[in-house]
Amino acid sequence: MVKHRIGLYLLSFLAMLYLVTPFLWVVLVSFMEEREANQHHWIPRQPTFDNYWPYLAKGSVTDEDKTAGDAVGGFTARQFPRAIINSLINASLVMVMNLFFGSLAAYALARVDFSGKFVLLLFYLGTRSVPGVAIMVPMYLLIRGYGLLDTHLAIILAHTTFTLPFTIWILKGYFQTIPIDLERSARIDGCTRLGALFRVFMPVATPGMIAVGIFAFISSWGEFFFALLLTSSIGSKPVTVLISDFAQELQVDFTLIAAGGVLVVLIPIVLAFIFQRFIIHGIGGAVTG
Amino acid sequence: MSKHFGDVIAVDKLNLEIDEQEFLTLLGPSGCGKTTTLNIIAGLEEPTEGQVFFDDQDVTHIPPEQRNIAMVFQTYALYPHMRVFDNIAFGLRMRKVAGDQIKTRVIEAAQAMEIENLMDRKPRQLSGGQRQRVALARAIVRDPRLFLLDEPLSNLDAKLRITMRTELKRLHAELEKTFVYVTHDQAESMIMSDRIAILNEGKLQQLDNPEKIYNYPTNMFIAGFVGSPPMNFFEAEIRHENEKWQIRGDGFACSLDAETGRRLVHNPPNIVELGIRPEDIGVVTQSDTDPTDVSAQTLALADEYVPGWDTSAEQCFAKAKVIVREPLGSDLFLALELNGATFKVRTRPNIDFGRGDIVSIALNPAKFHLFDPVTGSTLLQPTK
Repeated sequence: MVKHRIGLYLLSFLAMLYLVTPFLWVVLVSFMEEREANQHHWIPRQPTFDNYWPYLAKGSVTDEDKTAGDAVGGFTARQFPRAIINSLINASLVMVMNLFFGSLAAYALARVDFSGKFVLLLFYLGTRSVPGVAIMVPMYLLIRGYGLLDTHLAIILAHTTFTLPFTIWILKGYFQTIPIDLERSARIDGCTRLGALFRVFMPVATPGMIAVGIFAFISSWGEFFFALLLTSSIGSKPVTVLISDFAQELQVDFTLIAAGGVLVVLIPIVLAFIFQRFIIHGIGGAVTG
Repeated sequence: MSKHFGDVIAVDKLNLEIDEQEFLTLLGPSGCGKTTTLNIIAGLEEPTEGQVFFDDQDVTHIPPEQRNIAMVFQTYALYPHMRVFDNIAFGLRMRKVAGDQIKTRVIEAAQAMEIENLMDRKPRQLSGGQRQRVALARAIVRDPRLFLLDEPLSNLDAKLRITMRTELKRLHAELEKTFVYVTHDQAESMIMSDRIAILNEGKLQQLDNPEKIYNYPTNMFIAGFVGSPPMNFFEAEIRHENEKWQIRGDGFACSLDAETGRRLVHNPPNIVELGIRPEDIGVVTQSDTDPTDVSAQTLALADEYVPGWDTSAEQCFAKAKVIVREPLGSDLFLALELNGATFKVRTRPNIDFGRGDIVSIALNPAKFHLFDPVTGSTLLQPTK
């Protein structure tokens, strides 16, 4: 029996290794100097923070101010803070939109019986099966038609469109696990319909909402394709697109890119770590007394 | 009052008047409309037609938060994100009662339900019985004008259920408030209620006190629903001869007793459904020590007995075969078979008939219930 256990743990360890190692390598490379990185070894002999400074450097980020020294990727790196801010703005607002509209829709779908309900749900599900590439041209034309190219709003609208159906599905399922007797009890106790919603339903629904919110945030943060399509200048470029700009440089330090990669992923990882308890509970279902 | 959900008629023209301080139970099988009715009384749903009055006030369109009622749910519906104290205090806070008053009243209610040591716990840390008590405390703390209880004991284990029945009855007597109670458990309703309103398929079947419902059910549904084990039914013929009513079934025959004959409606049908409860059928054994037993003389009579019409027998004998023996400790139930009909008999635990034995039984004519086989309604008028 002990043998079984060891086998299982070993397997799990190997699986974890398989998943984590590539990223681990990137993290390690980000602390190396260029020549070390080309030597194919793991632990940096001379660890350095040098790859991170360019990302925090001061300096103008408009296209006209490119200097020669920026040729090795320094310019792109300098734009990083701005791109992070763009990503933060986009992802946060996408999260807010998802939570607001998603919870309203999910509540109605979970609690109210109306004709066409099933069709609507299938419709939401159906939107998920349309590949982004198929609608990229119409989307581009639509955004351009509204004069929204290269704005935050464009990305927020696009991302909300893609994440909202999933949010609604998850929240609807989650809301349905919350017994309706709770709201009834609150009303009998003296709350109005709305009062019952905010004082009793919302607190119980919070774990699910947090899970869905984090998911929307991370989805938006990591999205590349439509972000690339709809933005061009650093004023609205999110970090995923900026990273791809490294490909345009003449010659780039791989270690520099590694550092950039770590920074990009850092924020969602930290968020997921903080809220992991809610994510697990949220997808599971409400715990009630 | 009626309630329709699309094409489904959940409650069909229900007329009900509940007395002040009464303990009224809405009893019926699943889907009979009792919970819907309770929700309408609470204001959680609005009737499709009809009105709801509290005393002289028409509350039909008044929302539940303004009706000053309390409700206890089958699932208790405790607020999971609040401590027990806050759960109980919630209603008072909604009504903007002063802080120190809240504290006093909450503790009082908690002491009444013996949960004063659980105040800081969250609902998920409580057992089923404790949650039940919290739900009750939450109801009584507000001193409402009406208590509504929706199968509050259904989720408790059998033993706890029995204890809580007594608790609730005691509570009702102490609080002197009106209780409207919903259950599908007929034993529960018999034990606890002042009156029972039996519902089936949205319609009111009978509204009476437990004794009347048990002894004078107005239709076959009620007769079969109330009482455990349920009433036995036999197809039978009746006829009027020599100033007497006689009844004959497949394997038994006798006269109806005088009282039953008097209560029989005018022009009853020839074929009837005879209902008789397990405890109203006696097993004929040789015993002169137990006064509830049919005596040895009767045993002789039973043995000679041949069923036919020409009997003016006042006792209704039959011979049946034992199929199952169900000892319950305090009672013994025998499932018997008579010419294809199966039925149950309750008797003393020390009777030793077993499977396959033929027993003589005596059906008590004074306890016959007669029903119209087509409509199911009783053929006996109520006693004055």
